[in-house]
Amino acid sequence: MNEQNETTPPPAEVPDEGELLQRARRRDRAAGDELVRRYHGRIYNLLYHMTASREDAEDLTQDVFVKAFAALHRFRGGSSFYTWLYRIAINHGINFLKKRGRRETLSLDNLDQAIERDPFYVELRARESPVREASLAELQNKLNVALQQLSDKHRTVVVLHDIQGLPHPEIASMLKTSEGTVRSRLFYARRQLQQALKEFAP
Amino acid sequence: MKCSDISKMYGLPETDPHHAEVQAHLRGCFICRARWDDQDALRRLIALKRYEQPAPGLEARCLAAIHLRLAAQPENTGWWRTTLSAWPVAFQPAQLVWAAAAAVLLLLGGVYVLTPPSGSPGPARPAPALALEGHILIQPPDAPPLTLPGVPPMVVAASNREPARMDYGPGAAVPVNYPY
Repeated sequence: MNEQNETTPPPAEVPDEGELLQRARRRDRAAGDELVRRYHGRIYNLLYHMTASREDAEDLTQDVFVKAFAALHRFRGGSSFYTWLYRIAINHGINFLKKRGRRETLSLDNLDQAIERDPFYVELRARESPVREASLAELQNKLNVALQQLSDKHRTVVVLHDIQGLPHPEIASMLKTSEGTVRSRLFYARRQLQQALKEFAP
Repeated sequence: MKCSDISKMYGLPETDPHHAEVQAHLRGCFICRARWDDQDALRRLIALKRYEQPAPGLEARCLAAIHLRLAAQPENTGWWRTTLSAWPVAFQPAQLVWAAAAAVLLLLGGVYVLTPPSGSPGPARPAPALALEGHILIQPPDAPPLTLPGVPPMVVAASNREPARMDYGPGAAVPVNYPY
């Protein structure tokens, strides 16, 4: 036991988020970089699924962090930093989509090959379903087109709940709305998606 | 729970207080069970999008772009903002109101403690021998006769005004006839 303790390296010191925020407010670059490292992936994914464009998502991710750092003095810890950052990203994404309007061309990220080991995908391939015949790229395209047909508000809740796996109360807090509204938006969005994806979904 | 309520409960986490109630309904309602399973399959189909991965180097590109853009921004920080930011505790607005109220109370308390009570005698001050108000000389009753260096002695005479109707304040008010 003791031997094991001696050989186990001490855990790397993870800076506390409150401390990082204090330092970032004083324009400490290392602290700001650490916050970007922690959250850029999730913010990028959110914006990518909202816009279906990797270039737009990357630009918007940068915008979100620049905005957040400029407004950091206004963040007083009423919610978690992560929720606050998500709120900025959602508002920025929706404003961008309003300006962009409808765009048919998609600019999609590469699919991780791990999808082929996903139990649901394996199940779909095994069934007598169009997924068996469709290539992964076709399936990806179909999913993105279906998602883009939703309104911005409905798409946002689907991305947050079904793709990013956030619970209803957290989504309600991010969107500053009630849990009932979140559930209702999910219900109508899914009804629309079911229609658009009826060949893949049961 | 009714069938119409179940449709709004899709994706309910197991920790939700309604979860057990929903599951009980699903065990007894074949139609809701089938719809629930369809919704779950749709959710899992949409969730396949999480396998879409950003191009490599996203972090480095983001950091570089953010550094550039922050460096281009003018530093707009007032002294008060710097001071508040440097404070180890992030105050809520309500806390700030309480803190301000406490500061005002402390200030008022300090003023009250330092101010002597109104009944107590102040520092001894010699009574003025002469006070001048407009053209009226006001002399305390026990003051010596008025003489000013370089000024001819003034003649105190009865006034043609009616002193009874005038309020000169404390002390004897004596109208003065000027020598002109």
